Amino acid sequence: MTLRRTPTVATWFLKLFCSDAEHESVIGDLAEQFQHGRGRFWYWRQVLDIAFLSLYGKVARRPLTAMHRVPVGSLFALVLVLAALAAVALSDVGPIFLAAVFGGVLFGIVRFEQTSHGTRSAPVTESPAPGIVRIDSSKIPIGGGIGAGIVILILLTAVLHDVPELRFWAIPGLLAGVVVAIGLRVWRKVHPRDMDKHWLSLK
Amino acid sequence: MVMLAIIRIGNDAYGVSISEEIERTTGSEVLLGSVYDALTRLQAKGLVMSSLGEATPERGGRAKRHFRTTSQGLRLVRDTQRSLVKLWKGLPQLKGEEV
Repeated sequence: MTLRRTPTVATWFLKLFCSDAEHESVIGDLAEQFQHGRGRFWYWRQVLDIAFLSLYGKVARRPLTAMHRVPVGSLFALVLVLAALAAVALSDVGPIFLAAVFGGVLFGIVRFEQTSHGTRSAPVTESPAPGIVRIDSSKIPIGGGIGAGIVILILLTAVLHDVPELRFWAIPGLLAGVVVAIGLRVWRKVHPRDMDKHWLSLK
Repeated sequence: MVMLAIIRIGNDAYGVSISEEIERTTGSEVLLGSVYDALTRLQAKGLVMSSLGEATPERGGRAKRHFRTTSQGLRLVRDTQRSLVKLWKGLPQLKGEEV
């Protein structure tokens, strides 16, 4: 029996959005149906539907969207916005700007959790060691997006108002952001189990 | 609907056979992605469980994921059936009687 070749671009597109092991069987099902006489149009329709549902699942069903996590993200954004406003409003902006932004980042993404208080993500019986630092990795994309927006705002302000201190701090800030982003990506690769829980753990 | 299809099919319940069973019984087209989306949610709730089956050349060497209902899932189906039967009873509109 000669096997038909499944639409290459559609399969690549599907793998692009649905790379986890769970979707391997879906791709197999599509290939099986295609061999049984289904057409390219049918294949593409299924692929687009699966990709849409997968994206929707990743965005809408993540714990980040749960109501109890919203205040932390909102406060993070608020602190960053206040830091940017302070940087624009104050004349001696360098140290204040840095302190405010670093404070905002620490407040937004790092949470110190003690076992005596219990943790939100793990049952009390499986509580981590005291003093563990946890970074909510599900907030990183949003934190990164907000951070990038703030940096762009600061750069624009620096150019428009000709504030040399801002330009001075914006460049190392951007570079540090890139380094942190690469570091987090590497961390996510090294600790896939923590990724499943949407948490990165640092002891 | 997905759970009923799994029960009807029995041991060979996987994405394709489940969607075909639903298409056969309802007469409307079913998207595989929607079936898998429902199966993922049912599995997360512990109502169905899955295991990997054989990989064939026509599937591009990819294994089938077989699904079967758990005892919790079967219990839920029975409870739902009982509730639906109760709701179904005594509806004059469905007996052709005038309201």
